[in-house]
Amino acid sequence: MKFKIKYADQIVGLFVILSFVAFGMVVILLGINQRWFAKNYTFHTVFESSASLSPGTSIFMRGFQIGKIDRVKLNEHNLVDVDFHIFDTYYPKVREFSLLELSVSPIGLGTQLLFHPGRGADLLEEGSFIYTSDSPQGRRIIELELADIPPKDDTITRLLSNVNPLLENVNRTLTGVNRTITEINTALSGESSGPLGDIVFDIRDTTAQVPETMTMVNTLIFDAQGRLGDLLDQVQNILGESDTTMGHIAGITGNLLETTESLRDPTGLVPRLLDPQGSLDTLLNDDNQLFDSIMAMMAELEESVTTVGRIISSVNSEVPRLVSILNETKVAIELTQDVLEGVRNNPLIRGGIPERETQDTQYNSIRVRSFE
Amino acid sequence: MKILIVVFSALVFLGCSSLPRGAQEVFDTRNEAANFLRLGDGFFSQGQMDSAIQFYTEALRANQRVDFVEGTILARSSLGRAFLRAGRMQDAQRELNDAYFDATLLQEPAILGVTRNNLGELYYTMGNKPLALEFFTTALESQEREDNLTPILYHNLGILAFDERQFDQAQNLFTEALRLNRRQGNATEIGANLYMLAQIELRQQNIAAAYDLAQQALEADQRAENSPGIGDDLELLGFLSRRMNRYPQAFNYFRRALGVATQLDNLELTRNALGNLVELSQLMNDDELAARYRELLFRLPN
Repeated sequence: MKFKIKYADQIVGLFVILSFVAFGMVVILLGINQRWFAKNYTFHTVFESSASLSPGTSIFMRGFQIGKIDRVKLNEHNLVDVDFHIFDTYYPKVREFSLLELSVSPIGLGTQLLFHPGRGADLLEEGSFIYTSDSPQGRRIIELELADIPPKDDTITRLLSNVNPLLENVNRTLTGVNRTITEINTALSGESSGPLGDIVFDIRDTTAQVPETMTMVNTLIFDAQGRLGDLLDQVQNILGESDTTMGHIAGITGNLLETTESLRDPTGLVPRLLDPQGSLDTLLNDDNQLFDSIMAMMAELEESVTTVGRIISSVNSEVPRLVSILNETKVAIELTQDVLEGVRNNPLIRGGIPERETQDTQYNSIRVRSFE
Repeated sequence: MKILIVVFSALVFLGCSSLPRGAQEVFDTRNEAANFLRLGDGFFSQGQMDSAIQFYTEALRANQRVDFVEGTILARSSLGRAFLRAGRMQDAQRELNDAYFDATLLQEPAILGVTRNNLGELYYTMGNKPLALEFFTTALESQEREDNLTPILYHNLGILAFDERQFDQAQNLFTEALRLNRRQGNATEIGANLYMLAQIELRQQNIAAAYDLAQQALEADQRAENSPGIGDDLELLGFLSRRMNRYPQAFNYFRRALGVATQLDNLELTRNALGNLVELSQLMNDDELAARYRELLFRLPN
């Protein structure tokens, strides 16, 4: 089947244009994601040291990133000037008395630059100075509670708060163990009135009843010895009767032996009954030639049956695989049909597929095969 | 953005829709018949006429099942030709006559021409050359335009002239057929034209020219993988080489012809090749080889 795509050039052109558009859109999406087109509000502060401060350091407020440091510079007073920006979406938080705090973890879990919004009524202008929490002005703002500072919630605090319940549980368990041991001691000394005390009392009563029980057992054994003598007499009688029966069985066995000997004799009863000149006679009187032949045939037959059995077993074991292959083939054909139908119905190449194959007939030129 | 993606996806999915179209004409059976015809042609070109007949019969039945008259005529024509090649003359005559009758009712010039040519070939094979000439001539005259059949009709008319020993006329007809076939790119028919031109040169005792044309015919048939034609070409080349006393060369050609003949089950070509191989072995003083080929020759059925 020949496939031909109509308007191939136009379709290729369309896809090229679409790819350019898609590329442009991806670039725009990336830009939006990177805040290339968003407005940032720049502010200024001063730190004592630039340790843990570098351009690009994120500024957090209650776990949310709200801005970044743009520039870190040592000024003429040996302090560190820091320019930073706040994202436009968080600019309404930057009110009067806002603070910056460089939070350092005491166990080396890193540093965080935190922003605490002020509680003033007015928004700070872009480019304003924001105090740090360790500066005198910052400490004053904290004392007057003019900034919204959340309670500290670092890792160490959380760990310590988990230790107390654990210690309480351990204490409770130890108290329970101590109480159990005391109860056992009380029960063993016979002073307990609880279930354990009852068990100890029961054991004492049972031990007291043991001598009486032993006396009853001795009586039972004496009685059994008397009855055992009678039983032995009865067994003796049964054995005598068995001897008689065995004599009868020996007679029957003798008769059977005689019958078997008769059957084994080639001139005996069976050949006389089954035509002494017939095939059986031949079979019995040809130095085992025919018999050996029959035995060889039987061996071959047995071998053939075994082989056939093996083949059938092999075929049986292959049947599921064959069924599976047939099923897979069927599925593959169905899938191919679906794909072909999809291709055939595709409006882009519909006109290019010949739906009807041409029929032609044979005609060849005649040749004259004669040589003169 | 999401809207754009949705719209683009919808366009893609609509483009690949597998929904069947509304007003659709079904060609399944006719395509099945076309497949049977193509398979039959394959067996025909390999000389396996029994298989070819089976497939042509299936094609005929498929076309009849949907009452596709045009396909029925073409399938019947192919079937008749396969019977003809297999030597079943009665069957061939029945099928080709039926095809011709249907074609006269259909009144499709191209198909009518094909059935006339087939009947011409049938009557030629049966020895009725006047009737063959009538069918070939009528077919050629009723052609409205040149098609694949035109050079074949020229060639077949050339065959009739050749049989009448009108070699000039035959040569003109074969040459015209060759020109048309070359223009249409019918490699198989080119081989047949060249083969018959070689035969004309042979009749006129121009052995070298005949050899040259036969070699061209072999090349054309080998290009087209036309096995029956290759066998004929090798046989002719063997004969011509022998005429030129080139016994080892002739031996080589007949051995190759024997190989092709046995694969095609062509008894006549096999017998001729073996006979020549026996004689050439003797001429080359190889009695052992001659005895071997003689034994093979005796084994052939009569």
